[in-house]
Amino acid sequence: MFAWSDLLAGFGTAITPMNLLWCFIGSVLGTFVGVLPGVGPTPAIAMLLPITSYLGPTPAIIMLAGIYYGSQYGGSTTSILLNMPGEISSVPTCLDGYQLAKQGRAGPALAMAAISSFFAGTFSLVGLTFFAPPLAEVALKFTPTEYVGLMVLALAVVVNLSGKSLTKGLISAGFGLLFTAIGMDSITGEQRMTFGNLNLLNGFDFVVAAIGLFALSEILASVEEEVGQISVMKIGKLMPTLRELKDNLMAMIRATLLGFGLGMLPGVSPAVTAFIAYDTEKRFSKHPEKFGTGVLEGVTAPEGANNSATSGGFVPLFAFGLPSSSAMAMLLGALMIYGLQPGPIMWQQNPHFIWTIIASMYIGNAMLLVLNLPLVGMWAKVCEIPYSILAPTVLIFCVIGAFSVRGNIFDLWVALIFGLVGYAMKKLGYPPAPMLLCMILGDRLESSFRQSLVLSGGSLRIFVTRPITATLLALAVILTAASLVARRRASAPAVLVEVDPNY
Amino acid sequence: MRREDLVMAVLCLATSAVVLVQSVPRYFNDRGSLGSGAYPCYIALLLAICGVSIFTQWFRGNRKTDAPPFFPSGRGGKLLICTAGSMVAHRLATDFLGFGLASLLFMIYLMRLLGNHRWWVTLALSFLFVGLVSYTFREWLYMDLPRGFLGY
Amino acid sequence: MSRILGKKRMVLMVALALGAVALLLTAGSSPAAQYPTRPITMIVPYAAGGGSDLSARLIAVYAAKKFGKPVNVVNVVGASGITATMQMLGASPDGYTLMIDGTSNTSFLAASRTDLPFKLEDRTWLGRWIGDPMYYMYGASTPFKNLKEAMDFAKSKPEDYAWGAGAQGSQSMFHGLSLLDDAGIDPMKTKMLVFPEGMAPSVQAVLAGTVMHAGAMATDVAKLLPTGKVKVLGVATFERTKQYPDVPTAKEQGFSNSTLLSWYGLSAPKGFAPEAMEAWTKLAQEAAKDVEFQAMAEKQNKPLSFMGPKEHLEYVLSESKNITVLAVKVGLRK
Repeated sequence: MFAWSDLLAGFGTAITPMNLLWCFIGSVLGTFVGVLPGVGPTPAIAMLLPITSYLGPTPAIIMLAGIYYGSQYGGSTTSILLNMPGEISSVPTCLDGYQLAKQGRAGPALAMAAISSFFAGTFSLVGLTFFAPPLAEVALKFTPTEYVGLMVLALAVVVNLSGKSLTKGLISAGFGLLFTAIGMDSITGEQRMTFGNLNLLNGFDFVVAAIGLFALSEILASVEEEVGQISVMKIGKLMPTLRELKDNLMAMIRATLLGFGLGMLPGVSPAVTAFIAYDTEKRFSKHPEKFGTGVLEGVTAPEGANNSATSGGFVPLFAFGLPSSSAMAMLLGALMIYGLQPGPIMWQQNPHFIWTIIASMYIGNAMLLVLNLPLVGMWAKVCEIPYSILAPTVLIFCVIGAFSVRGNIFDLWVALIFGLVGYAMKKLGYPPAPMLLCMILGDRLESSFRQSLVLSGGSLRIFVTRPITATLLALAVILTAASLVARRRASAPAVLVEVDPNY
Repeated sequence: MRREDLVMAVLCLATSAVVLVQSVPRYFNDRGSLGSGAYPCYIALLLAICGVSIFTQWFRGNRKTDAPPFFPSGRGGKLLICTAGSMVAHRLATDFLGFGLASLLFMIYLMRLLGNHRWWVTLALSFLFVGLVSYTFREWLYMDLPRGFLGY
Repeated sequence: MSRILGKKRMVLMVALALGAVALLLTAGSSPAAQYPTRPITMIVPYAAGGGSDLSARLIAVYAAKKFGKPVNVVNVVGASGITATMQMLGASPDGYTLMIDGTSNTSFLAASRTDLPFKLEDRTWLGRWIGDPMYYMYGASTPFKNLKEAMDFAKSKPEDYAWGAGAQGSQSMFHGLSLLDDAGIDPMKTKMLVFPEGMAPSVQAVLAGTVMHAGAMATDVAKLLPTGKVKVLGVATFERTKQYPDVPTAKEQGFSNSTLLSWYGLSAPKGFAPEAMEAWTKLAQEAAKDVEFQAMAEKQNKPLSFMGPKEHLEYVLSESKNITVLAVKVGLRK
């Protein structure tokens, strides 16, 4: 399917001034949208769809695609600076990124996020360029049973996110799973645990919960600590050192592969991909216990993964016209407005269009790197804004963000309550990440599990007989066991010390 | 574990009980396959086990108390309660006054509470920020932020 | 009083004034002479990119052009469309909020549930715009050559027949249910796979070989038929479609009750402003004659099928009644 001449021709079209302009506009808009909590690429694309009917299909799709991968660049900014995930796929970035900001290292964190995003975004495009059709076939082989395997594997990540007390991590995860069960059951339509309250019919949206659990709780905690500004220490260097870049190289490679592979699968949220990347990096790291206190790899991995996941998302779209996420579905809609059908027909009749889009994505990623790196200094200054001004402005953005997700005023209460819950959890040492991860995974896990049982006629053996599922489940068990052993070993020295005092 | 964790353990067990009561009758659906109650049942089980685990750890003497006290106290505590209260007030005021006015009052209050600015600065920044944000989101991004009886 | 120097105070005053002006500009205005005087909101009860969403956008773009004011499509997802419906019903009937309706969130929803917080008649119906037929899509490797063969197999071994039903109570589900019911099979004995996200994943499941068939719209057929991975064995309409005249209807093949038009229309809160009502009715009439609009609809594989408000409501109510019978019969409705 691939010929160098096709790609070069694509670049030729992508470099025309008109296309470059719209690539730039899309990327910038995407970054802006990514920075705002709650507002994501999907509503932005939706809002701009009518305008695109005045452009031709090529600049329109170039711009919309730019919004999509641009938003994954922007999402990390507020995650690092304010513990407020701009995009749900940037939640894991909060874990280490915000700690780095508090230590005055917001600059290197932001820069590393941009560099990793560029690396992963660009190299994953190589996968899209060369391997799209055969990979799409693999993606198709994922039935509900395989999804159960994948979701269980993602759950294994929870153990690693639990911090010092496994019990507390499990409680956080358990409540997260419970929150997804509240509302209308998607398969039977029955109401679960809504206690007759119509507002709860819809359950909780995890973006709204993320705003509460991460951003609002952090503000409450900071107010109590009477912080004057976010960064306690003076803002240091703005760029990571060469040594740090070298250390992060493997992390970027791993994130690229992982993100691209998982991004191809329809329905796997980029947030889940980012969490898995974070967890994987922690396992490969020589100092895993430092994750969560401000480790640069903890920013590199999720940020790279969420960008390569966007390229992965284009694989089923271009190969079969199947959208792997709601933003992709909107892009598909935009294509259809022009009467373009992505899939084999397009490869046959209009391959130049696809190559132009792919070429523009390479260009867009480069543009975003050039845009974002100089801005690092400006963003890092946010850490020096007096908290008395920063706090109310961030809170107002959170309100807007929470409202924008579903247009639902009740969500503002949800965000607020999750904020208070998050604050309490912080005080008591319960990690919020497992709760959020489970809220993202829960629905999919449950519906895939029930679908699998329908397929198997009620027997559980289907999870063992299907090869991919069995592999995923076995991997989940192995990883969980490895994490538990590592935890035991990490706390063992403390036990020995306690035994010794009588000496 | 601290005393507050025991409260958490009780919460876990109570939630578990409520969920089980709601879900066990719906464990199977009318056709005999797994119904809508199955999944919550297992979660309830997990929470119950965790609750029991906290109790076990407490009784085994694991009573580290190096963490800061839970209830807010001192000036920081007062700031926290006022901030949280203002967030609730903002939420309620939005229904009545609309997003624009409520946010304006909210920002003015918080700037006075948390900082030491002169009135001019507080008012100017609040008006500017809330005005720009309202304009951007309502007019350019077509977001229908809630309006109150005055239309703001 | 403050000790701010004159210049700084000027800057602050300007900032204050700017902000106040910006805030003032956003104040809600009251409707004036010529409708519409400000942007209109069109609520979509399902996720972006789906059937209702794309239909809504097709209409919205046209309306925006004709009205000269933006028509913003807003997705309010949740609870099988109940959330969006409640939001629309609770909105002001001043003419600036409407909703796109489809079978899934009206007649079929009312048929499959007894606990709806609203009644179908309690809204202003604005008529129908689109009539999208649903096809029976099978994987290319199925051994069946037509629907009859497929149903014969399902009758003999229902527990081996897996099919994709889309969301609970959706048209995709009833599409399959009515076929099975017509063939004399108890659908509850088959492997009905519910996909909460809607039709898209159930179509993907056909590609993956997980299910034997799923309901698909013209857009899905147009997209997937050329890949050679699917076969279309029937369509659930009264007559063969213009797009795919080779596909026999389910009725022809002996399944007389399986005629399902997936229509899309508009509705608004009760007591919708008369000038708005008139404007939208006129718009529909114009659209029916507008060649450009028809070409656009054809490009997007959305067959147009207009029906006025009163007849459309009657159609919906009778459809709801018929489907309720089916729903009770197969045990979907308690």
